[in-house]
Amino acid sequence: MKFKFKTTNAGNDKIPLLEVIVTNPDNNKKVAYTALVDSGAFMNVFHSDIARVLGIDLSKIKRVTEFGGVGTDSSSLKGKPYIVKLMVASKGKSFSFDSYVLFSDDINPKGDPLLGRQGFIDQFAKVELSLRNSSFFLYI
Amino acid sequence: MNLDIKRLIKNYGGKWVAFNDSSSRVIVSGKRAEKVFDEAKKKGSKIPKLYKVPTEYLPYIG
Repeated sequence: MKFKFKTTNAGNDKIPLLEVIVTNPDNNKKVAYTALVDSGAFMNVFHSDIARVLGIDLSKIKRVTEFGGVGTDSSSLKGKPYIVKLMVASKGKSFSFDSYVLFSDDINPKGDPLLGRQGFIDQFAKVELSLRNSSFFLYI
Repeated sequence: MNLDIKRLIKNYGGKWVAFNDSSSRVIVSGKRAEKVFDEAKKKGSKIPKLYKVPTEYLPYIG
């Protein structure tokens, strides 16, 4: 099965932003959240605000995971891990899976949350970007 | 989403927004995600569609 999505325009740039349905498995609360599909990211990083929307109390999670970007700032970024359910949907088709997400207050305000290799890209047989066609594809 | 990011940034940079069902229009915006979520629900969104608009557009390298 193949899911097709349009890239989002940013002036002359085209960005693979994707809306995923995020569900808290503990209370079934759902939100649709837009994040960047990024094969350069090790894992998923979402805003902590989304955890609050879903009723996830991050103060009860003691584990803190550090991560970094390509910037020169030597201080690491921090997030708290939680397992949620993610769903992608397009044209009446959908695909859901459990996913490990880092909820973080350290996402750059000039950037986007990330759907990375572990917990997103690894759930698909292939992820394909076609800038000429302003599209990207997820294959299961 | 069916909107140009640069236009979104011009109007809503740094804010949370909720989109309509086709993600072609902003129906609620604000500084707090929870409030935007609640307002979108009040406006009829079954599953509110939230996006944190970047404060400015920078070509992303990562």
